[in-house]
Amino acid sequence: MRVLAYADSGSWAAQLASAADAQGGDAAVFVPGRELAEAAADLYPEVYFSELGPFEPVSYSAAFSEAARSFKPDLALFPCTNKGRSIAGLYSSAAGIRSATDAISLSARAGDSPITVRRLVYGGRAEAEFRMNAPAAVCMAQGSYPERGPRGGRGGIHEVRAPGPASSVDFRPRRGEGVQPDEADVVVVAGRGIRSREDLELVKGLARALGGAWSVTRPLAADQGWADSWIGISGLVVSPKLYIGVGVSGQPHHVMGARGSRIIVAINKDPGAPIFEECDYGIVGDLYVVVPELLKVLGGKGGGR
Amino acid sequence: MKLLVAVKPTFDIGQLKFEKDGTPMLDACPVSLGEADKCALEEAVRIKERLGATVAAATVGSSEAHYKAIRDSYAMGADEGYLVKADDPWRLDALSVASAIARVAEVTGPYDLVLAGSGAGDTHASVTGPMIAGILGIPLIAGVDRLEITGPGAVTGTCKLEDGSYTYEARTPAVVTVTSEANAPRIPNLRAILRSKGMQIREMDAGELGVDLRRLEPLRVGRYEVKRKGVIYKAEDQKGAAEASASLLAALRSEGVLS
Amino acid sequence: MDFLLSEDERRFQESVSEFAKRYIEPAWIDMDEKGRIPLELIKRMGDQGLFAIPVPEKYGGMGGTVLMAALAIEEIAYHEPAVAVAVYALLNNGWPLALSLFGSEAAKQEILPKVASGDAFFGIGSTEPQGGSDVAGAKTVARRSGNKWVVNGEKAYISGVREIQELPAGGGFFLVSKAESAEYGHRSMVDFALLPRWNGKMRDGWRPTIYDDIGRHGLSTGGFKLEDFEVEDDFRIGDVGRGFYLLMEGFNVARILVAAATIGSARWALDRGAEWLRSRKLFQGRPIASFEGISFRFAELYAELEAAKYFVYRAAWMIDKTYLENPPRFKPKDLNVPVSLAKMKGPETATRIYEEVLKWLGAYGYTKESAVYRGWLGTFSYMIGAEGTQNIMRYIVARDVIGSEYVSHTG
Repeated sequence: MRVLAYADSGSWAAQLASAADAQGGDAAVFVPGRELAEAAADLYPEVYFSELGPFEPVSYSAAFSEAARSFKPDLALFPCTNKGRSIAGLYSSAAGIRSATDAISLSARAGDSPITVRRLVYGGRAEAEFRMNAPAAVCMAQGSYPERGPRGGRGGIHEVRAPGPASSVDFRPRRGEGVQPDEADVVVVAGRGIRSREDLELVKGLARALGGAWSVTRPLAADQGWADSWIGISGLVVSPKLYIGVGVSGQPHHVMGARGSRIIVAINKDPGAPIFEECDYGIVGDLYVVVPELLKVLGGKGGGR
Repeated sequence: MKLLVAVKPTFDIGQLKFEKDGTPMLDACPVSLGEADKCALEEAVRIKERLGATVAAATVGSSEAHYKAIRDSYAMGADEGYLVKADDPWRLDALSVASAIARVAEVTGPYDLVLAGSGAGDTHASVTGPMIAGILGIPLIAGVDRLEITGPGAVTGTCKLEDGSYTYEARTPAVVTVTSEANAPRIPNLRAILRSKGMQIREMDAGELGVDLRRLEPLRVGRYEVKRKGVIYKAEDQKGAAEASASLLAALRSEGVLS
Repeated sequence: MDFLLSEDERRFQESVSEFAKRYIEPAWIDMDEKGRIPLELIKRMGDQGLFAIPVPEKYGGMGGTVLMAALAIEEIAYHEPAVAVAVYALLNNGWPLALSLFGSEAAKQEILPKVASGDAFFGIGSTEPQGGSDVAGAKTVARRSGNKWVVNGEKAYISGVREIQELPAGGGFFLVSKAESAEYGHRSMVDFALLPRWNGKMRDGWRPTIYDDIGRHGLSTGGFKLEDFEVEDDFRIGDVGRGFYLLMEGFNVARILVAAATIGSARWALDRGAEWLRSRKLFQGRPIASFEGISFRFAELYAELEAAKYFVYRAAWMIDKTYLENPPRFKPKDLNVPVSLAKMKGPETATRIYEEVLKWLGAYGYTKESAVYRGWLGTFSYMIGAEGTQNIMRYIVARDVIGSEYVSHTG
């Protein structure tokens, strides 16, 4: 099974390397930029890259297609991110091949046998298992495969031609204070149980005390404007070692954004909150009482109310 | 200007229930026009009101919910509606849907913009829009929360992606997918609802369009199996909160997730 | 017999539910706490076409039906259990319809468009300090003077007294009074569209006071004295001597909408109850729904709620077939029993549901935080009266079913 991955970060290159390994056969990756290519050469025997400007889906997908013309994959793997889905959609429609998104596991054997994909459907409330014939394209859910370490040896690096962007691009990087949720080992998330913007300090304090990042669920960002980004399928998808939801009820689209977390903790006063059905540890209680107690036990670092 | 909006009814997954064996009870699950689709329609109708345009809505599927999706699009201000007939529409694969919409665009166009909702749907997960662009070979602006026609033949959209904000300007025709953060879609009033009842829906045949509709054949579909420990502590008062906190932190330490 | 709503009725119901979820639900507790419905919300409701639903389009209404109005009120109340907004909406649906059925062309053209747009209020002014149920005993008197009427008297427990002073155009009431020098009796009355404030201007001779109610705080209740208040004859509603009968027809519409409001609120309470019964676990992790003393009571209340709901839909359907169809299928007097049954069952079912849900919630339900008590107090205002007391509903049913010669005490 020849597998060509697309990755735009070290973390995704490492996750998809591990997904590709699990299929056996030959693996390669396409990355945007020589710098990433140098790093990816520790993970893959073959690395393709183009020098591309800021992300623009049509040109990125065309460059990936160039790499695919060279490598001739049976299976193309993409991150299940906004960018990844765009590239996967453009690539698979141009190549006329079948695709699947939100895949949580993959099994492909060599030769003509079909690929079995397990993917999340219905907002993550259900999973479906499919057989797809190669060639196919799959978007992998964050955290479904662990990040691989270096394989020893250096892969070959090949530059491929890329067209110019199909649209002009003006990129403004996200400015966040402190550790970012998609890079942190610990993420503390504020949900609708937090009553005011000022009360977010409880969540920020807990994040600080644990050396992690803080974020919010979508309503607190999109409706209330208390933050620029949020955790959820339409926002940031994270898979830290530890996720703590404070006053988070556990709506499916939010949970999909954090399911890859190793340990999920929930604090909510509603015992029927859906998040309690998908957590490792939970405290049923008033967050305004529980979080200060947690901070006390942690030594009062980072302040509280 | 001519705008085409691809719409589809989606399951209200918050209300989805499962049989004892884990099979999702789709027949009992309410279905309605998705939030992002409504935002896409709203953007199109706003362009129509600001600059003058006709807005067409298109869907692929023959269920009652698909006809209602077109009528609801009319109630929001769409002028034309196309429905590509397909039995058992819920298992159609994304490429088939995208191909059908692309053909509708070719046959009933030319369109300046093809819009679709992006993200937070139930199964097609944001690939349909990009696929339409890929099939038509036109630019794609995916995931806009702000959209503007910036001149004759030019469209600008701003997208909030994981690493920051991207503003794209493309020449039309182009595909734009719209997120549910883009606007607050208008709620049709009674007059708009009653008027939409009488409007014609043009039915189209996939075979005549030259589209091969393929359906996904899952080996099995089941409830997502949660593999989490589910250890719950109760904290009914301050004392309980103190005890629960201590227990929780001890557990997290033994899990090795606290530094 | 097709028991299901038509597709248009369902779509309209969904659109109101969507509106209420977006604009009313997030603010309902605040409105009840602060005792006010923001004028912006009223205007938004006007823009959305939630007032004057059954009024013909030529007067600015939506050209819909009373059934649609009832569905809208029920959805609003489901998202605003304290029912102030629901009652504001029902008054501005029911009484504008009565005006459009019985008023003069001039009054309709002048008043209805502004009510439909949310710029003016049009409610009911019937009750007086000495009595509400005994309408024929009203002491407010209207004396003809050329092209005008001069009205003197007092009304009490009237909704909207503050709102008409604050809305952009103002507003007023479908007001019943005795025609001067007529004897006591049903044939002595005359109705008016009486507008204490109109086009932003206060009229002379109107002295309002506002009360402090125990619930439904968002909508004001008050009283007013009329001292030589002048009303143009164009704003008389119907003939002299017909006042009592037209008022009763108007009450039939308003009562259905009241019942719809109590049912929407009760549905909310029962849904909160069901959530609680699922999630509250006692006696080694058993959800309290597993105790039949609780779940059987839930089933009984659910049955009552369904029955009350269908009373409303059936009576609303009959009202539509009486006033909005030609030839009418029913006569106004055919509506008395169906409407009274609905208005009897709605508030009483709501009260029973609230009491039981509060008991299930236990001490938590007794706290202000749970907010359930707000719906209890709001719907209880319809146990007390408002558009007809619960005992008058019984009187009407007994009189019409047993026979008025046995039951009637007014001759």
